[in-house]
Amino acid sequence: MSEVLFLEDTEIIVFRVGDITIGLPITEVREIFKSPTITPVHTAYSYVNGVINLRGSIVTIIDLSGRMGLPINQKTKAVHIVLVEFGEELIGLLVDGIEDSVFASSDDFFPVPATVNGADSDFFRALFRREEDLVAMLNLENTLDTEAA
Amino acid sequence: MDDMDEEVLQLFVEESREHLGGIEDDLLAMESMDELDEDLVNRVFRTLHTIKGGAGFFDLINLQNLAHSMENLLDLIRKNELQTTKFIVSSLLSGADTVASMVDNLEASNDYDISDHLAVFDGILKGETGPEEAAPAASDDAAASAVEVQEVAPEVFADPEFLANENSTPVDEQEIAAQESQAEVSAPVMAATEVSKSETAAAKAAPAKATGGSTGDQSIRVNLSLLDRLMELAGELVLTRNALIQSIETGDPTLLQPAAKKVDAITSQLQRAIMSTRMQTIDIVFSKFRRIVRDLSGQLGKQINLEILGEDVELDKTIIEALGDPLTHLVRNSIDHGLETPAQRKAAGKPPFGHLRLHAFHEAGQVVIEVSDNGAGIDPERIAGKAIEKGMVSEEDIARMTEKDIVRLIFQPGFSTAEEVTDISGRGVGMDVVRQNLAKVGGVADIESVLGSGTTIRVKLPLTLAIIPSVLVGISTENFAIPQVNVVEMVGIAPDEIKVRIQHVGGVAMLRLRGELLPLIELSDFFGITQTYRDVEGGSLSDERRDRLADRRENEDVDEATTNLRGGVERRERAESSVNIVIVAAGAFKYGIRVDELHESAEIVVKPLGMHFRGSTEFSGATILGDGTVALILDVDGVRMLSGASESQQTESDIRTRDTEEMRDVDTCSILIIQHAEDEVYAVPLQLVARIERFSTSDLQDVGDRKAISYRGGILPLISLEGLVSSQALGVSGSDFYVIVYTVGKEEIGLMASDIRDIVDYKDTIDNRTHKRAGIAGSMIVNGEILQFLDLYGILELDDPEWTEHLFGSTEEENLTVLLVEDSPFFQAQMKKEIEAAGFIVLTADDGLLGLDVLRSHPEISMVLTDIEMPNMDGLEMVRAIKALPEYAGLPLVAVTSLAGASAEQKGLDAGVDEYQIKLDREQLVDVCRRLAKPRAISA
Repeated sequence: MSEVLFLEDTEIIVFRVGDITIGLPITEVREIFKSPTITPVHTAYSYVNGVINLRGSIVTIIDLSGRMGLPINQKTKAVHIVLVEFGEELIGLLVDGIEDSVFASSDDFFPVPATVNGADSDFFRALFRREEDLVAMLNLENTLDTEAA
Repeated sequence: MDDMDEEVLQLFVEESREHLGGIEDDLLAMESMDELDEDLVNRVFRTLHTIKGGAGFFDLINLQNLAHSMENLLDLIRKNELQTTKFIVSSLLSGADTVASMVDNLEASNDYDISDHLAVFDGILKGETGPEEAAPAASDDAAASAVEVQEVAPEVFADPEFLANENSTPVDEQEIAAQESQAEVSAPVMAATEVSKSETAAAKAAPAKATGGSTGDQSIRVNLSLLDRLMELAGELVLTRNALIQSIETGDPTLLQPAAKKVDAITSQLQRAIMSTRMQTIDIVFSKFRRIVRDLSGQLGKQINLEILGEDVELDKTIIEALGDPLTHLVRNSIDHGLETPAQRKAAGKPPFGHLRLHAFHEAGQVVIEVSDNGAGIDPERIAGKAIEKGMVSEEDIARMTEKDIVRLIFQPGFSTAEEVTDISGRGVGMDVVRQNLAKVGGVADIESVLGSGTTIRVKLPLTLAIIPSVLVGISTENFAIPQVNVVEMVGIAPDEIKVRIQHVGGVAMLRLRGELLPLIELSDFFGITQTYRDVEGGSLSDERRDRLADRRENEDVDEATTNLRGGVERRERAESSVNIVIVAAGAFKYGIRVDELHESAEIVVKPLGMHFRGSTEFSGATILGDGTVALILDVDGVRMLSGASESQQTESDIRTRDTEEMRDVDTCSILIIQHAEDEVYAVPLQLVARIERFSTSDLQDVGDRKAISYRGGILPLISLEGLVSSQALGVSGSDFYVIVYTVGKEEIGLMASDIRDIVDYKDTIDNRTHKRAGIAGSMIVNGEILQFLDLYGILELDDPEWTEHLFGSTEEENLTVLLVEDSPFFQAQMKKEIEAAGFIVLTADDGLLGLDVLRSHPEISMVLTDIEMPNMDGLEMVRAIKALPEYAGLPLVAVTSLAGASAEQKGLDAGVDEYQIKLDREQLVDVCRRLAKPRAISA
């Protein structure tokens, strides 16, 4: 990956999707809330879970584990939505659980290996070393862009 | 620049834009004025004067110079010292375009190269004339000069055109055009034409920019009286709010009721008033076409009268903005492909001036825009040829289509008839893009064309987008909104009528509605909606489920009760309920959508969907219902396309359907149950039925010694079971009877029936012993009733052997051997008989393993027909096994099935089957044997 390992010192929201611990800079997260009733929809993308009514706007909900092609983990229940802004649109990421918010300094980031617990490395920008484990920093661009898919 | 200046500058830009908005029309009007219209010229003069003044104030030298130069010219015209000519107007128009472009890019305006403009204007001032001045300004010469122009500098226009398509900014085009023209600036005439070409390109790019939402377009002008009205309503709302608060605080319920009513009334008035602030006249779009038509017709050497009607029709701002592109495309198409050159028109006996009409008007709550020309029209045969060539439709499809439908094919994706790509009407993207763009704003396009006399394209648009009256429907647990404009009617079908009203013809569910047959679409087939009964029934249609249910209850009651009690109960309830169908229209195409529940109709607020829906044409948006849940808004045109395309483009959800279909026994056979007389019912394989028609007995005619009926412009020979397999006369009650139309050879035969009883999917074995006799292939029990299974070809043979032989064609004595692998004795016997009758030797085997044995021991076998579902080794497995053996390479392998299903067919093809045929379709079976069976060179 020729991409520059980016990220400045930043605060990171950490959440879980299947067996992967994922992080997003707090500046990219607009909101976190418990999933309301999702209206299922039919689109060309199987990982689009549906749409919700967020204070009068229609927000598309992406099932992150479906997007990354992870096996469905029956034990964990996708209950939280991480709302991110992508392009001019708000998109909800359905995740299995919210863990933490941590402060990361730019030295703590390092490159992504080919796969991260079964998910393709393209979905991530970098790994971040939390005290005892690793957090994969989500690449929103690659995860949400419909062109790439 | 400080804030003060910034503000003034902004004011100057806005004012200039406002003035420039009208300058194009005014200049065009100047061109056609017979004598000097002082007001008109003054208006243009003042516009430029104002801009010049402002530009001077802000030190925008270039803009000031250009405006000044144009102003000088206009001054002469105003004083009647200079006669306006086409050339002068062209120069002024291109000058005005540059001025407008500079106003939009004030920062860069000093970088514009305006020397060409100035040179042209100076030339005119010095008395140089344009090309037309050489000859008297007769219309024919104008065309001639236009052709000349094209010859002079084609390679020059090519570039700006190209750039325009690449979405370059107007500035770039200007610069490039300017550079190009500098290279050849020798003759002022030439420079002028070049510039005007580049302006065309700029004009082309403009609508795209408008939809992209340039900052200048974000404000809107509102009529003062409308604003007053809004103020008034706001005032009323405040008063009512006070009343409401008061009634709640005092707890006086008598005050609450009237206040609530008032809120209701004011809200809807307020809504209407606010909506109307978004309404703009369509003139904004239409007026652009005067210039486009003028420029293009000149470029192409065509003479075109543009007529614009209904420019005061109002539409929502969003729609107006979205209309620019598709309408431009349509107009360009008309000019480029539709209207002929004067010479061609003369040859066709038409006046040299082509007529292009843009007409907007209200119709049934919608706005209709017609783009019509009296040009060459569209040749359906060419369209058909092209469509077949591109593999979009088959020749059979074409044969069944009306000319109008064929012409509509141009709206299909990937269709473009332009023999070569021209600069005028794009690069082969064509009409499907127009259709799609219109669909985005809820518009539907339809086309009508008469070869030789012209084409009319009708675009129907909703008045507004933000709020649309819709019908809310429920399918399973989900809610959908269908825009009211698309809803034709809602039909409820009582349980006892379902079987008569909903029929399956050729695998498609059709609704019989006042003599029309409309396709019926089951949304759950496409949207992956989980139905409570899906696990058992697969993705097939509801009535089919019903029918199978009916016989399930008879045959498998015990099973069902033990294995799936709950499901059984639910299904039983369903079988008794009526079916609700919403009939919708997408353009001229009508179809039915089956829904579980019809909710209220409501005015829904349209919310846009995210980018993941960009590829989904079936939804035009979403809305939020009263309880806060989301309902998607169906795009009926998109749903139609989705259903039409679902056979060829299988998506993930289809694969699921395929799996359930697999579990279903493929040996299921759809049968049509017909009644000949009271207590005498027969079964007919549905796959052989082309159509079911209803006639009155008074329509019956005697042709020779047989009954016949006038039908589709010909005579349909009829046969009655009376005297063939029945001793009773046709028991017609009332004056109507049914005719089952099927095909023998190339002819259609009608079998008379007194009534249509049912269509069922029959899964059990068909008894081919007890009742077998001439004309009857076997018997079956459905709902406790014994049905005789008609041999449709057998009865024909009984009726008139000679005629039948004639229809089937003479049997060729080839003595080729065919292996038939089929486990059901009934189908085996029936097919064997039919193939043998055609002159083949038929060997049979009961399953795949036995089939392989027979194949090994009989090297003379020249083709294999096989069933799919068989014990021990199924058909596909056997096909794979045969394919794996090199000595059988090239041996034709044909699968026969009783159900035609795209997914089953695909599986067969994947396994290596050459063709797929329907059991009992004698025609096809014999045909495939004749085509494929060939003597095999037996290798030693």
